[in-house]
Formats: sequence, C-alpha cells, structure tokens
Amino acid sequence: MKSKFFITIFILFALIFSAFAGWFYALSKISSERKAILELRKTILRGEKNKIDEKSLVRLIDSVKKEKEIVESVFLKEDDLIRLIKGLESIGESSGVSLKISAISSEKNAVSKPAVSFSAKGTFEQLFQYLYFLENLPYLITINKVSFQKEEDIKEITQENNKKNILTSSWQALFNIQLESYEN
Amino acid sequence: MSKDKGLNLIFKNILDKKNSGVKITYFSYEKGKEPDGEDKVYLSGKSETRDEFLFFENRLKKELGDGKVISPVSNLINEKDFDFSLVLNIKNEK
Repeated sequence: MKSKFFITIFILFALIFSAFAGWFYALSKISSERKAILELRKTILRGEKNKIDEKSLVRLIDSVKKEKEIVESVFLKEDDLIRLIKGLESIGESSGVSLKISAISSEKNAVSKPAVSFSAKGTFEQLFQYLYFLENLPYLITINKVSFQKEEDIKEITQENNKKNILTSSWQALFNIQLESYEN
Repeated sequence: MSKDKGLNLIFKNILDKKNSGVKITYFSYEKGKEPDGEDKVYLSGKSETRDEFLFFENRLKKELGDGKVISPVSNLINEKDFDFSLVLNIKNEK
C-alpha cells in the first residue's frame, strides 16, 4: 500500500516535471522562432529598401540619360578616332590627294584632346579642295597648323626614242589638327 | 578677314589679291595661342618686279589693316625676280 502511494507520487512528480520540461522546451522554441521571424522581417525590409533604392536609381539613370548621351558625344572614344581617320582618308580619295598620316597623339585622359598630323600631296586645286572637305567634316576640328608648299620635280619622259627631262610642279600640304568633339 | 570664315576662304581671299607677276610657293597658317588672339599666316613666293610685289602687299594691307601685314625690308632690296616673305596677322574670332 505504501509502495503504491510512493509510485503514485513519483508518477505525479514525473508528470509535473515532464510538463514543466515540455513547457520550457515550447517556450524556448517559440522564442527562437520569434527571433528567426524578426531576422526574416529585417531581411525582407532590407530587400524592400534595396528594391526601392534600385528603382529610384533606375529612374535617376533614365532622367540623366539624355545628358549622359550629350556628354558622351563630346568626348571622343577610340572608335571615333578610327572613324575620323577613315574620314580623312575618304576625303583624300574624293579630292584626289595622296594622304600620309604621320602622327596621332591620343591620350587616355579626357582633358587632352587627340591631335592628328598628316601630309597630303597633289595639285594645288586638289589640296585646296581637301582643305575645304576637311573643314566640313562632321567633327568639331581645330586646325592648329597647315602649310602648303610648292614642290618642283624633274620627270624623265620618253618621246619617240628621245628622253626628255621636264619640270613638273606639285604641292604638298602638312596638317596638324585637333579633335574637339565628335559632333560638329 | 576673320578666322570664322573658314581657312579655305581666308586662303582664297589672300590668293585673290595676288597679281600675275607674283607667284606663291609657300603659305601656312598657325593657330594663335590665345583664345581671342591672332592667328598667323606665313606667305612666301617670287615676284617678277618690286612694283608687282608692292601692289600685292598694298592690297593685303587694305584688306587686313596696315599693322597686320608684316613685310621684312629684305623684300625691297631687289628690283626684279626676287623671293619675298610676308606674315599676316588674322583675328581669331573662334
């Protein structure tokens, strides 16, 4: 009888203990879950904030897109320089002069503008036409230096088995131009 | 005669002043250092007579102004068949 009483008491204590243990376990679990939920909420908030920032940044980029294009058009890129060289060659062909590019100074920084030095040979009219075409290229160009020099060559020609030396005159022009902008 | 006309027009204008007894063998243009300063045009050539050269020089002076055409005294030493050189100062309005 006595042992039955003790067993009942023991079971009762065990039940109470297990109830307390269960309660503590549930409580700690709830608090850890709460912490996780709070962390998740913070992450969500951070994500939303980033999204808003990203959206406003996209809006800002869109609003300055035109200005960006204008600024980019002012500064020359390497591709533009190649296009300019092709332009110089093309007007050389159109005017009939033989062109020789002697130097290109293209600095990486935007402050110093690229300068191109070249020479052209042909008749006076051809060189004059070349100068006209050069000034009308779709680039903002500053002509720093240009010189026209008359050159006289002695040419040997054969006429009916007779060799003759004749004096022919041609002109040579030296140019030094600086590119201010791709757009004129 | 100002730079904003374009170089080809400036050169054309100068060469149009030339008479038949004057031959140009060299001319060049150099941009001035100052933004609103003066650009320089160097001319050299041959003249058959002194009078022909002076006629050309005076026409340039009339167009550009007296002080804008610099002619060395050496241009006047010979009377016939001589080489000459001139420096023209052109206003840079760019």
